[in-house]
Amino acid sequence: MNNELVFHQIRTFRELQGLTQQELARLSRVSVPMIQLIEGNKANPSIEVLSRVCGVLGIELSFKVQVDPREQVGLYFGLVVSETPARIRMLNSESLEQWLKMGKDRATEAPERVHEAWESVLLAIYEYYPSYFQRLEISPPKKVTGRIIKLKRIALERLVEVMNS
Amino acid sequence: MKALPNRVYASFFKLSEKNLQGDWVVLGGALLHLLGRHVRTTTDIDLVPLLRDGGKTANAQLAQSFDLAESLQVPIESINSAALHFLKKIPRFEKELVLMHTWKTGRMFRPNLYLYFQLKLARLSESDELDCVEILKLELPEATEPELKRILKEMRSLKKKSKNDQFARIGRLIEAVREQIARMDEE
Repeated sequence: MNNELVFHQIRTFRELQGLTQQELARLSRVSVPMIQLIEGNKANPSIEVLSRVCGVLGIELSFKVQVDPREQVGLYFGLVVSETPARIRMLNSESLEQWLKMGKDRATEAPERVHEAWESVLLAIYEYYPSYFQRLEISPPKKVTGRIIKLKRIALERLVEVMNS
Repeated sequence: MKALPNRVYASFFKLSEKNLQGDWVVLGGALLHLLGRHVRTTTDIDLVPLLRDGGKTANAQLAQSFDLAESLQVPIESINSAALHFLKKIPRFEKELVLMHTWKTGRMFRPNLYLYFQLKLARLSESDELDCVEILKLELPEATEPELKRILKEMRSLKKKSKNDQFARIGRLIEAVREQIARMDEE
């Protein structure tokens, strides 16, 4: 399991749901320092602790993260469509916009594969929904690799669902 | 961001002659670039082999498309043959193909106006709408009234199932096609 990837998502999901670290700690019956360590990628929590934290945030733990490229995109894009609580599952083009704006600063710090997934989502929007992309005030990917092109096609499938919902 | 540079389109047919054998169809946004309309960014060249032999040479043809990508100096992922899946879903799609280019060992086809619209309508993103508008402009001199009416029929049926932005996009396209039919009627 890629800890960094999961921990990164925990912070993103917590913020997306408007929870403080204290609230998340209380809801998941974990100490505040543990939440801070997890989010700072400095902890090695048990699966039980991680499951409790993820459970509160509606994140389903998957151990196939590094196997299937869909999972890579899933963590950075599909997550907002299918793997999250009802509030986020109700995603539409407006909430996607908020989510993307929120994630843009974070994307540069993300692990490489997550960053690629992020770039692929941006590329899909840039190519297929250009006026929507302009509203985001985000730069398009600078370097488009073969892998990003491939992931873009997967991202586009999800994107069309969101845009047409 | 680096999209596919114009030199890719400029050398596409020449390098296709060197690398490809058999029948192929070029689709999507890249087709517009090949027809000289550089209106939008794309990182894909939708290029599918026409499997005349029932797919016996499919792997070989796929390998040829990778060779073409290499010759064009683009990532092999830029050449996308997945459109074959959507093409094959359209009954008698072969009848809707237009010959674009021939060489000693192969031929390159493109969809006619009706097929181009059909392939684009299912998704109809902003760029798909733009592509449809552009192909309509390009094909209008050759387009016939029955062909436009066929397209209109497809779009009207899809409009019933669509919503929000997609609904608006189909509405605009319907209007554009209707306008052309009205002009033809006047003439």
